[in-house]
Amino acid sequence: MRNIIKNNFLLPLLALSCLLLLEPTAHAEQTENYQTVQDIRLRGQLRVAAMAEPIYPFTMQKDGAWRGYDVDLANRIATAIGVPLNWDATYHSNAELIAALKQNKADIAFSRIKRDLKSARQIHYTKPYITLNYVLLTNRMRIMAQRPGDESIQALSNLPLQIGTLDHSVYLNMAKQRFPAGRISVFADIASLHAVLKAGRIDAAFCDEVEAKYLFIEHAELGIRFGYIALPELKSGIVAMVDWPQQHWLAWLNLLLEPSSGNTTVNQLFLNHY
Amino acid sequence: MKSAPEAVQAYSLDWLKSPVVILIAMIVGILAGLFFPAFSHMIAPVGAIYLKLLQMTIIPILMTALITSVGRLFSSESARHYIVKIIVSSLIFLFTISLLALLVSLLVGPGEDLSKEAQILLGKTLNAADQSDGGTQPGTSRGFFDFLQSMIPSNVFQAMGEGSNLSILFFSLVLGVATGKIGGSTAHHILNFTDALFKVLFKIISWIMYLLPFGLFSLLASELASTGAETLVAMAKFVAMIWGISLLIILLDTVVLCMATRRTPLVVLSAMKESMLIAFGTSSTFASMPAAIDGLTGDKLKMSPDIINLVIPLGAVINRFSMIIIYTSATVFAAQLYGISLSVPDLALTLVLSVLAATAGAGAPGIVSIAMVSIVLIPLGLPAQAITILLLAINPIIDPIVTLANIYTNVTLSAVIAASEKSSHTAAA
Repeated sequence: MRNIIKNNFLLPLLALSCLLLLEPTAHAEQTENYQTVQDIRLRGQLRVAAMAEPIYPFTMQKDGAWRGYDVDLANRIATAIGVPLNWDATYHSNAELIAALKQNKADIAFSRIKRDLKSARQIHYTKPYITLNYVLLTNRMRIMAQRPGDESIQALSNLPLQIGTLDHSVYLNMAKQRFPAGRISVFADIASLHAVLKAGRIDAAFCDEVEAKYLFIEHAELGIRFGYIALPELKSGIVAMVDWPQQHWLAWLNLLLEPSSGNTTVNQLFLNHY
Repeated sequence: MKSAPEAVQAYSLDWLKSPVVILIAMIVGILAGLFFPAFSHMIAPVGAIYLKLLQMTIIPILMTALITSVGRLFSSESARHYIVKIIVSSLIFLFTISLLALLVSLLVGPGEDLSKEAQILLGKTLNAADQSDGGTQPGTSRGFFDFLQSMIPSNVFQAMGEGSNLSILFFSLVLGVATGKIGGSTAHHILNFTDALFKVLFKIISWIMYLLPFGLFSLLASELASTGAETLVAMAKFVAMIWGISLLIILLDTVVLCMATRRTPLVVLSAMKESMLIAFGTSSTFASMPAAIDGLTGDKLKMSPDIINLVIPLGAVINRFSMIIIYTSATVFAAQLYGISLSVPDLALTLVLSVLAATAGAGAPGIVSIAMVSIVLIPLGLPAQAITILLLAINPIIDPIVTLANIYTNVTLSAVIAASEKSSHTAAA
């Protein structure tokens, strides 16, 4: 009887002990990347990871230096902490930005980031510092070819439109929800989406208002061929990213970013930073 | 016993009604609008007050003119004959104007070969309009039963208060017909009363006419000061074409009017000058209606008041020649802008739909009427919303001339009907 008890309990106890031994290691890996605002101050610089490609009007190169709304915001954060800004725009994808945060190569990541369910498993998003509406850019003639009763958004919502959008869960879900009768196709980036729209291969493009403005910014005459329908009931927040364990840093950032959220319009953005 | 000598008037204000003074006021108003926009905006209330004074008389004049003329018409044996003549003549005029506007538009090609700068300006205008308040919603066509419903007032006093011209027209016609059918002394008393009231209202109009130079000066100045120059530049060809079509129509109308009244062009223009100036200065057919009636029935042209008092108010509400010019031209412009070639069936559809849309918009305010261009554009697969935005942008510049063409064509139509009635009576005698 004693042997049975001994044998039946010893193995699970051994396994549990191994787990207990491992767990602090895992915990140690998490707390290794834990930092506070004070830690950043002591390090002597705020390290920002950003995309190498400019994203107007959030990040762009002007006179050899990085400028834009996100750069201004990063500078504001650095000034509030009391350290200089180190803007590292050498990354080419969202995955690379996340890796930089996780490897402690950056304190925060910018570049007109939108919240994504997949990424949210690995990092923390700040509260939105700008809120954008979603927009439907329409090819006026292709829409009219479908003989809608009128050109209101209510009428268009019921048509089997060919709608292009970005390959991002938020865009795709919102487009499907808003246009249940539409045939949605995805594109890698906004440049491809605009190219397809201009080529007349889709009826409409679903994107945010900054992305919509890109179409007209250098080619205002496109306003003749392409319509712009705002969808104010659908909103998108622009956020920054910090690594998962950095609760204090995140809380401090949200406190700093809170006054600026919702105060800037897209037109002001382009006026001030483009 | 000698009678007391007549008091000599120490001064006369008739010089204020002189065409020279009015023309000077208009030119100065245009210059002020172009070069002194701040001042022009400041004096805008003067024009608004003048317009309100004119509008104050419109509904009573519309009602008394229609009740009196329809009442007299239906008390005679030849009512049906008149009605058929009015309908047939109106249709001929409506389709002729539509055809004329279509042919000139195709000839001029307002949307073809636009410069890059013009395209950029148009693109900016459309984009800005789309992004503000969600853009302009295109007008939707009213169904036939909706149209009928809108025509019949549930409360005639409410319709008068709201200025619902179509409802007032309907009520006045019904009241006039009923009065005519009753006949006898009852009809006689009612029609005498409405006729007397009509004359009193014209006295009021004659007083208001003294303020015409001030009103025109202010209205033109403030309108021009509010007009966006960019869109105007981009659509200069279209605007010039609308002016050209309108002036051509006015020229043809003058020829027909001279034939109908058997007067020289100088006499005709002199008789109609007040209504033409009011139409141009106020961009309001209704505001110019009393002067148009006065011009035709006055000493110079001496047309039958019974016909004129019926056809002019009726035409002012239903025969919207101005909108036909705009709808037809805008359709051709839209097709050319978007690189669509209009086939013969498309052109025929444009012709017919322009007339139907103009009639369907009877009683609708200006902005709603412009948006009803969608009735013509949507069946042809052309973007109505974009074209509506552009038309609204240039409306302050084209409105004066198309309104002038509108009232003048209504005047010509009335004169033609009155003249044909006169010759019928002469032939019968």
